[in-house]
Amino acid sequence: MRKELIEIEKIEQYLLKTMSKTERTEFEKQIGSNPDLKAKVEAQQTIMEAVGRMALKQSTKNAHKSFKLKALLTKLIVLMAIVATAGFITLQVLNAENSEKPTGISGNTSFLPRNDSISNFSNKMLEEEIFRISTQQDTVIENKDGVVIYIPANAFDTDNTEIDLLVQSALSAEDILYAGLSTTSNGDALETGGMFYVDAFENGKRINLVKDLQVDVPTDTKVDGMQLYAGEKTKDGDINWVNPAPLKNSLTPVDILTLDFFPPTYDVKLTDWGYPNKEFKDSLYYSFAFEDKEDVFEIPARPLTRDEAKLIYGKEDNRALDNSMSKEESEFLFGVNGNRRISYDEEIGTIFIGFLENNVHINPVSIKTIWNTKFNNTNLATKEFEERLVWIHKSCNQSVLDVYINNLDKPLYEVDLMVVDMVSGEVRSKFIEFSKRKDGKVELDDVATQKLSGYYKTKTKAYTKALLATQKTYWDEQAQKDVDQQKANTESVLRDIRNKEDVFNKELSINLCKVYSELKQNYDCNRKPIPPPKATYSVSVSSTGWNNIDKQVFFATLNRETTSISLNGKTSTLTYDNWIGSIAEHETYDRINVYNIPKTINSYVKIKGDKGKYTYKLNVDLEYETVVLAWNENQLYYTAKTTKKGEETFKLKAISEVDFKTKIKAKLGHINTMDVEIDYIINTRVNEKRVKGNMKRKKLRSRVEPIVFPCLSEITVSSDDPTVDSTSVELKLDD
Amino acid sequence: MNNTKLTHLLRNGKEEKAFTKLYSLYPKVEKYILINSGSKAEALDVFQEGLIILFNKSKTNTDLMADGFLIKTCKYLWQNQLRKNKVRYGDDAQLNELIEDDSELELLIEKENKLNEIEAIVKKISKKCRQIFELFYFKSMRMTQVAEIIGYKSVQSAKVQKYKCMEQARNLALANEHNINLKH
Repeated sequence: MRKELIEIEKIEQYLLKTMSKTERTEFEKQIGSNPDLKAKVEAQQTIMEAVGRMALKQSTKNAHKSFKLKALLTKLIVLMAIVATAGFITLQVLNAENSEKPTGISGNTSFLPRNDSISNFSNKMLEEEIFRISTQQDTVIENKDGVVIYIPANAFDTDNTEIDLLVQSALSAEDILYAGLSTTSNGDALETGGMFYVDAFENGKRINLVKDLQVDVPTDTKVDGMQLYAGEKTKDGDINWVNPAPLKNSLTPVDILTLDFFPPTYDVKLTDWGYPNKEFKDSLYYSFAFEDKEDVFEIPARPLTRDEAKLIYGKEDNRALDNSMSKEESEFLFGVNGNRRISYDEEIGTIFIGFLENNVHINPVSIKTIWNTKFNNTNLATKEFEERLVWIHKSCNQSVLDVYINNLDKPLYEVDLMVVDMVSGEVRSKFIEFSKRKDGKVELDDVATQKLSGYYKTKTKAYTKALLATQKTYWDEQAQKDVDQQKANTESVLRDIRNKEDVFNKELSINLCKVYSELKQNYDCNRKPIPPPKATYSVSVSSTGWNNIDKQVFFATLNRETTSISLNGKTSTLTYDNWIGSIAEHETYDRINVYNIPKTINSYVKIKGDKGKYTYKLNVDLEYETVVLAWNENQLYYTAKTTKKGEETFKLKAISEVDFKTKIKAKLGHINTMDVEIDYIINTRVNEKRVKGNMKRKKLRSRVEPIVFPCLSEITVSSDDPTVDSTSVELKLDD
Repeated sequence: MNNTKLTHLLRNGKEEKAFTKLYSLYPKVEKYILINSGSKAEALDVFQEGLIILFNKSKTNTDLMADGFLIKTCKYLWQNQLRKNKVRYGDDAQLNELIEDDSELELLIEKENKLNEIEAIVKKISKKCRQIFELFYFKSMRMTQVAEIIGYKSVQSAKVQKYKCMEQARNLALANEHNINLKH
């Protein structure tokens, strides 16, 4: 750094008191002896202070602005308007007397006549802005102060296609004072948020308004209780402010996704029931989508007939006769029929006519279509619409919702009025109340309005298809799974029976072999035992012989009863011991399968049991192993041990599905069909979860349904009977 | 209005908020000045000057009656203004009431007047310089922050720039003083 700059740095440190004490004393000495340095220090100090002062001054100015703003907006009235010729905003003060004044045009600068009954000296003080407006289309203009005026087509009482609109505004206190505008209403002082003057001329001659203009006056803060006053010229030429009317509020759009478009209480209840997730709420709600029954009409590819043209236009219209029928014309002819709802698909040029019977519910598809960012910055993305939607849901009338969607270019209160006739009772009073609030609209140009309307129509259809398809696919899949599980269940039952049979046959062979050998009879232990009897019969046995032995062994094996068989003074006994297997904490399992596996037979018997107690009779000549497989929603369990007579308790150990699949399978796989059984258990468990999930889903759906369709109970009963589901299907299987 | 709260706002960098509240006194001041042959614009100037003096005073005085002090200062300022006018234009506008002399206030006002002159000089330096000055000297920001806000790559270059700005401003100030001295 340069020497000079280093000096400046030092002075700064001195002034900001960041020097050490010794440095400071040293520096003060230098100042004392060097007047040049002293001057520099002083200059630097004043500059530093001046900087602070300038910032403060700015701060006082800013404070003045905020203060003025506050004062303007918190007082009695906030906005005042000077009302010219015809009407103004919501004030339809038509002053016939004014329009009759033929007063001359005041030259090239102003149209305002002298000794006017409306304008006064203030108008001369304010800048005049003149806009040439086409009367045939909607126009939006903005003046120098940011006053935005929306002029609908044909708003003026004229046949001319062009008129001149004079706009003057005094929004700041300075302008108002400069213009000498009064701020009194019948002698009472008013605080003002701004004044504006609008006047319309046709060839320099004042004309009346026949439609309301919408005027947006800029403000930093919107305050409740704003009122619009009309200006009335007094004898002295002052303006007296009269006829206060509440302001038509133009709407402030918010992010549509922050609003709640669900039916009333849906959101809260689902959260209460443990489903706080928005995505889930969405998908559940949209799953209630239903398809409108629609008759599809092509636009007739022919021109209007004379009669039709007469009907539509009240006179023969060549233009209409020249071309093929337009959408509007065909709608008029085929659609204006009270109970029909018309929609038009731009892309395929087809008119859809839905019948009013479908309108007993709000279709969740409509909500899905509008509840997305496409509709941001429209009437729908406002708190005001959210409030109405609650009542639209309650009206159960799809047409009501459609009216709001199809009239995005109109202020909400106008749509409210259209709705009033479509509903009744409490809902009707509510919409009357809404209309009285005079809620306005979010400005939207025609193109956007049309585009969104088209978007709504095509998207609604697309969404309906997609949503219904998704639902159908899901439930079709579920039905298929139900069928598959049924098959598996049947197979499982058959498997058990076959294994039981297998065990019986083999045990019978073993028993026969034993008895015959103990009775010292010749017997081929490999011979096939006689087949089981088709029916039981009782026969008195008076003679002995091999036939007799076979039968006794057969019944002993079948009934599993200890039996002694004697022949020629020799006795052989088949012994069956009681066995009870108790499962510890049996109530924690959803299902318990107990298998007794005779080691030499290599097949299993699935034991029946109740409340954790499983009973069986053990053949003392066979060694058994008991295997217990159990499961609940969360876990598989396993245990196995050598079976001993009497009562045994089994404590199960949790086992992972992977271990179950591999280790248990490896251990028991050698047993006939056990591998299939293990797979079956795993699949069944998955299936049980699925069924439970569906049950829960259906229960939730039937619980939610009256919320989604509040008029449901009055009209139809849901075709989805929640009691018919997979669990009952499963019960049928067990029969 | 709560004076303790006002003083607190003034002392803690929230002067603008305090000023906004204090503007509720402005109608009184304006009325006073209008009655005493002033204009609205003059009234606003006086009031703003008064706010600045109040701000400076609040730095040294904790139990300040902010509203009372402000009103008094404004009256005092206007009295001075009238006196000056009398000297300069022979205007014989008189105050309806006589304000007691207050030497301390006199001192504050004198200082403000001097700064007012310097202000014209500071306005001559570049906007960037003024911004650096404001952030550093008035808002007491660290140079690292200042460098970041203004967009300097390093703190060092911001510092050098600041000293250059000061050099420029100081030279202007000294030249001005010299001119004044020459006139005298």
